[in-house]
Amino acid sequence: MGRGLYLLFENDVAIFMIQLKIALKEKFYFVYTLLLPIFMVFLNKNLNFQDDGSLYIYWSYIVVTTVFNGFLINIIRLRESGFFKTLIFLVESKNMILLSNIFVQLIIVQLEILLFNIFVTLFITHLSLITFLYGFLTSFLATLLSAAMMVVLLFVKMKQDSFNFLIGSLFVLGIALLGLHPNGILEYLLTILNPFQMIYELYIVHCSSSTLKFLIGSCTILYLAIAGFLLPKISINRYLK
Amino acid sequence: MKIENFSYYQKKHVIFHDANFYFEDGKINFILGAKMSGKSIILDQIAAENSNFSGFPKAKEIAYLAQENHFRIGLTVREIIGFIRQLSSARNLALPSTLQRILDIKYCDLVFSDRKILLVYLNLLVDKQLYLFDEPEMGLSLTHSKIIFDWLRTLVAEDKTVILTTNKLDNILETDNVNFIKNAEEILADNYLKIKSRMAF
Repeated sequence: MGRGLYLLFENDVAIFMIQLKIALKEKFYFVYTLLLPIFMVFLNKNLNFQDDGSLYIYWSYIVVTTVFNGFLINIIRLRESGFFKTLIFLVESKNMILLSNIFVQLIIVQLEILLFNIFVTLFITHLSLITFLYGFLTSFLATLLSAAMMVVLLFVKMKQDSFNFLIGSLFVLGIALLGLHPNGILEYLLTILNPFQMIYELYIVHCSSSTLKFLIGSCTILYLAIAGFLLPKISINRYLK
Repeated sequence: MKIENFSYYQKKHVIFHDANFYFEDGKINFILGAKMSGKSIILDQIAAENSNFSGFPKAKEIAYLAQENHFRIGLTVREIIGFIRQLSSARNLALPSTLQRILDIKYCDLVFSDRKILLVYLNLLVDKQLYLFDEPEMGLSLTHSKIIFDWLRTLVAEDKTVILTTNKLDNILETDNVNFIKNAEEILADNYLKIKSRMAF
């Protein structure tokens, strides 16, 4: 039974394992997806850490930067290098490459959130098992939602330099705006548009107003549906000039 | 396998207009033409999931090596070959001596010629009906391109069909089938000997 199941998903398992291996070898990315937030939380350790709300900003940063590098940038690099096309014909499935990449991000995000939480509980403030469990469970949806919000960028056609500037700017702006702690209409607007804000709001949803809860729920469903529709349509050829 | 009355436009530029290409099963078929003449477009069209050209296998039965593969991967050659060998379509193919000496080198550290040779070998490792190669000898020395073409001819010996693009004449044998892109409308398709006599290369 187990062997039969393995044979059925032989290619899927192989492509997942190789992508996980590639992701774990890219150690440089962990400097700013994991070590940087650990460093920042250490610098801010004297600030108010009485509730988990302070933690969610770091979780949001970890999730979005990991998906940004591991999913968005990785798929774009793969496609623009021409290797995406070669790989698709070798493994016979474009969707499997994309899906396994997202699964890899789920694993990496879980590992990073776990390590981050362990660091916080050892050196800053004790985190309850409930917090660990909450981080584990919510991060699945947070990772998928974060990837879904970025899918549209895979369809942008422009010059390579302009594209690099665009996504670099969106990334920096996204972090900067998260740090603003927006309120009112601005908070709603940024929740819809800024992945960092959206993921933060998702983590803190149990403390949000009914309107914000409704907005987060609707946007989550909408983004996941759009991504599910768009992702299989991604071209295997270059988009950037 | 044939492509008939094929037209392709990029913005207002005509790449092909009512062009015809003919390919023979179980042979090496060259698409010969100058740079930017649209050779890669033909391969893309053959490999497209919604391709409706006559006689070509479905996308799942095609191996396709794109022209450029600059992706930086920290995996070693051994790990990459191991990955392809795990796929359901993998063939039991001996590891050539050319690759044995680089097994423990990371892909991103390989020199261009070794990288190209590895990529061609990875495509030979999978069992397909049709193999597409976009300028496999581009940027390689004659020695290295000869290694690649020797491998491609072993595919033909196994009754596989190979279609490749090139703008060089070095590795074409007189019996090979050639589609020479003369211009957007005129494609000369025949064995190389006859094409040569018509074009006086």
